[in-house]
Amino acid sequence: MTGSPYLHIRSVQKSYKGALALHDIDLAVEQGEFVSLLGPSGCGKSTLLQILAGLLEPDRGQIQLDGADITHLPPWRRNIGLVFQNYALFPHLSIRQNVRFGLDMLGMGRAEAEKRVDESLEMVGLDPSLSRRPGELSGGQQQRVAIARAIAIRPRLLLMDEPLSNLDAVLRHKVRLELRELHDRTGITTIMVTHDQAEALATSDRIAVMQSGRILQFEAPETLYGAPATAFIAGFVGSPPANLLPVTASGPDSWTLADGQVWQPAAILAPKANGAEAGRACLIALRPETLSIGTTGEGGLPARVAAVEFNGGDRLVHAETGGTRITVRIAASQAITGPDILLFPPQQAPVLFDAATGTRL
Amino acid sequence: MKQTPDIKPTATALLVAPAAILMFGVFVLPFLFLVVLSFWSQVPGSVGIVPGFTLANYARIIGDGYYLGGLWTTLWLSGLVTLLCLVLALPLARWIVLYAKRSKGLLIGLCILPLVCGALLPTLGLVNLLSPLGFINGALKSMGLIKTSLPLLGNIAGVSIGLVQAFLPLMILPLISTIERIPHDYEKAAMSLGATRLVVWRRVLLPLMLPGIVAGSLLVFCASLTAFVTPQILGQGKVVTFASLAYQQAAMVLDWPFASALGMVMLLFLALAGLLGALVSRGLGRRT
Amino acid sequence: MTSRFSKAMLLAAVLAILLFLLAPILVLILSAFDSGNVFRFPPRGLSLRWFEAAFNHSEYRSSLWISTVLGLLSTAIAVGLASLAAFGLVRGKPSYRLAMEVLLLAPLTLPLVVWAIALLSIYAQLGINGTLPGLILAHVTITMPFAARIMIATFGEIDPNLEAAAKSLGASPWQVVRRITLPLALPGLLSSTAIAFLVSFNDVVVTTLIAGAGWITFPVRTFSRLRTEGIDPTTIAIGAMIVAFTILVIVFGQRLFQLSRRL
Repeated sequence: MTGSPYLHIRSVQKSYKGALALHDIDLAVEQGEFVSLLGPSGCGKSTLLQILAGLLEPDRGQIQLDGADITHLPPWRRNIGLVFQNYALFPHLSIRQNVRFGLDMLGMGRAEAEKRVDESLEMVGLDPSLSRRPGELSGGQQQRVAIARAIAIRPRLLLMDEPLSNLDAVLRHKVRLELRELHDRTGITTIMVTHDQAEALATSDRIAVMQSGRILQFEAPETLYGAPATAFIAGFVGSPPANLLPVTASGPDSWTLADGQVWQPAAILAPKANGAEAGRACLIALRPETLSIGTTGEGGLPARVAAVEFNGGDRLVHAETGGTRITVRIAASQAITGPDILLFPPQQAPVLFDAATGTRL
Repeated sequence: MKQTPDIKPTATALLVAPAAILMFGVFVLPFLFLVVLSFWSQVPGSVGIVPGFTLANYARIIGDGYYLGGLWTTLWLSGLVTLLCLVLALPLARWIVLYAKRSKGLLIGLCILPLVCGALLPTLGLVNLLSPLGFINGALKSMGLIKTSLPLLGNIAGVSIGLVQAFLPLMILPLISTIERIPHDYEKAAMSLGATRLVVWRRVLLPLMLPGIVAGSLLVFCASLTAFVTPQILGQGKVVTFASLAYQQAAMVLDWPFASALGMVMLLFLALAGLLGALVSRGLGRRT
Repeated sequence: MTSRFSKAMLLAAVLAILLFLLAPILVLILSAFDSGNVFRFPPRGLSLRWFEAAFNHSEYRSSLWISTVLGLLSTAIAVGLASLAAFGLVRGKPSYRLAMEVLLLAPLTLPLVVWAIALLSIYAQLGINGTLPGLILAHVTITMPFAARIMIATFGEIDPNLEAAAKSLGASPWQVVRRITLPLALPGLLSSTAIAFLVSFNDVVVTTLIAGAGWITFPVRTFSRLRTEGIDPTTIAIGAMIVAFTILVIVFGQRLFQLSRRL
C-alpha cells in the first residue's frame, strides 16, 4: 500500500445540458468499506454512480481504482459490479445464465463458471438448482439474482443504485441486513446510492450526503447523526429528523423565537456560550429523543401540544413553540398532563447553524 | 437509473441518416417536384414536359364541370365514409378495450387485416359479395325477399361500403389507443354523481375520446379522398372520384403536369381537413 | 336498462361490425371454391379447379414471383434501415427525434397516389421507370413507416439498464448488441418484417403507377385485368390463398410475438 485510498474520486465535474449535475466531487474510499451516497432525488448521486461504472464520462476530474486511473476506461473493462433499482435481469436468459453472463464475457471455462454460479447463488441465499426465468421470481428473489450476477465476476467494486426501493417495507428491512452481512462475508468494497437515510445509517461504514451536485459531509453514521455539518443534513437524517428551531440572539443570555417570544435557556445553550453575537439569526438542532417534557423549571421552552402519536414503545409529541412545530420522542409510559408544557433541551453544547447559510457555527 | 446511458450524437446521426436520407429523397422531394410540375405543361401527344410557368392545368380543373363534379362527389363521399367509420369503430374499439381480454391482440390483428391485405384483394371479395349474382342478392333472393337484384355495384352505395371496409382500421387503431388511456373510474364516478348513460357519453366519454376521434377521422377522410382502386372497381366506371381522374391522367393519358395539378388540389383539401381537425381539437382543448 | 343487457347489445353490435369488416375477405375465400366461371350465390358446386388453374397459369406464377422478390428485397432494406434509425432515435434521444419520426411515418398520412404521380414523372426523367431498383426504392418507402413504428416501440420497450448491466459485466458494445439487444428486439423485428412484407406484397396503389411493363406484380396484373376483363376466377383463387396466408401470418405473429402490441 502506498497510502493512497483504494477508490479515489478527484475533482469530478459533470454537466447535463448546461446544468451542473456534479460539482467538483472529491471522495476517498478505503478497501472493504461500505459507503452510501445519500441524498434527495436530483442531487447527483446516480450520476456519480454511473461515472464510477463508466456509463458516463466526467467532464473533468479523475477516478483512481486500486492505484490505476480508470477515468476513461470503458465499462466492460472495469470489472465493477452493478446492481440496479429495477434489477435489470436479462429476461431472455434463465437465472443461471444471467449469473453466468459476466463469466462468459471473461471467457471462463464451463466447469469453473458453473461452480462460480453455484457459489454466487448460494452466497445470496438462493437455491442454485433454480432453472426458472427472472420474470417468474418475486421482487426479493430477483434482487438476490441481480446481486449474485454482480458478485459472480468478483468485482473490484460493487455499485448498487437504490437496491431496496422496489421492495415492500418488510422485505426492505430484511434485505438491508442481508446486504450488510453479504458485504462482511465477501469484503467487496461497496457503494450504495439511496435516498433513504435510515437505510444508509443501518448499513454503511461511511455516508456521503449529497445535495445539488455536491458532497456536504462524508462521515460515519454516528458522526453524521450527532454532528451534522449543515442544517440540511440535520433536517434530513434521523427518523424523525432533528427539529430546527429558528432563533435570533437578543443578548448574551437570551434568544428571541420566531414569534418574538424571548427564551432564556440554560447557560450552555445561551448565545454567549455559543459565540453568537446579538442579532445573529440561528437554527438550533434539537433531536426529538434528547428533548424532555416538564411543567415547571428553569430554561424550558413554553410549548403547546398539537398532537400525540403512539408508536408502541414510545410516543411522538408534536408541540408548537414560538411559531415552530417541534417533535419530541418520549417513553410510552410518560403521561402528558395538559396542552401547555415546557420543553427542556439537553444540558450539553447544542448543534447550532447559521440561519442564512445553514453552516455549522 | 434515471438517466439512461446515451449513445453519442455522431453515432445517433449515423444510425438515423440512411433512413432519413432515403425518406427525404424518395418521399419528400417528389412532393416538392409535384408543386413545380403542376405549373408546367405537357408537350401534346408525347410524354415530354415544357418547363415554363403556366396556370393552364389549374384553369382546366376549375373551368371543367367534369373535374369539379368529381371533386364534389369525392368530398361528400369521403365525409360520408368518415362518419360511417366513426359510428362503426366506436363500439368496436370500446368493446376491445373494455371487454376483450385474451382475444384483444387477435382482434386488433383482425382489424388491421384490411390494411395489410392492400386495396385490391378485399375489393375482389366485395365484388362477389355485392354483384347482382353475388352473396347478398343471392341470399335475399333465396329467402324470397326480393325478385330482382338490388344494384349494389356501380353506384355510390357500393363504393361507400368498399371504402368503409378498407379504412375502418384507420379509425379503430387511434380510437383504441385513446380509449385505453381513459381510466375506467371516470365513468363510475360520473354515474355515482347521478349522470345517466347518455350524459356520461356526452359529457365524459366523447370529450375524452376526441383526440382519437379527430385523428381517426382525419386518417379516414384523407384515405377516402385519395382512394382510386376501390372506387374504380366497385364504381365500375360510373362513380368518378377525383383520385381516379388523377390516376387516369398519370397512368393512361400520361399528362403528368395535369395529374400533378389534380394531386395538388387533393393536397389542398387534405391540408384544409388537417386544419379543421387541429381547430376542433384546440377549441375543445380550450373548453376543458 | 341493465348493464348485462347493454353489454349483450354491445357484443351483438361488435360481432356484426366485425362480420362487416371481414365479410369481403371471407367471401373472397369462399368464392374461390365455387365451380362456375362467374361467382353466384348460392354456389352451384364446389371445386378446386381454380386453384389448379392458378398453379398452372404461368403469367400469374411469374407475377407472384415478382411480388415475392420485390417484397423480400424491400422488406429487408426497410426493416434494416428502420431498425438502425429507431435504435438511434430511442437510445440517442436526439433533439430532432420528433421531426425524424414525422418524416419516417409520413407515408402513413400523406396520400400515396399523389406521391406516386410525382415519383412517376421523376423516375421518367431519371430513366428508372419500370426498373427493379426504382420499384424497390418505392416499396422501401411505403413499408418504412410500418417497420419504423414497430421498431421504435420495440426499442422503447427494452430497458436501457439491461444494456448497461451487460456492459458492466464485461460485454463490449458489439457483444451487447448480439447477446442482449438483438435477442430482445427479435419479436419486434419479426413483426415488422411480416407487416412490411405483406404491405409490399399487396400494394397496388403505388406499384400500378410505376411498375411499367417489366415488373408486373400480382396485384398490378389483377388490377389491370379487372378493369379490362372483369373478375377472373383464377385471380380469386390466388387472392384467397394470399389472404389466407396473410391471416396465418397475423394469427401466428400474434401468438408467437404479440404482433399487435407494437402497431
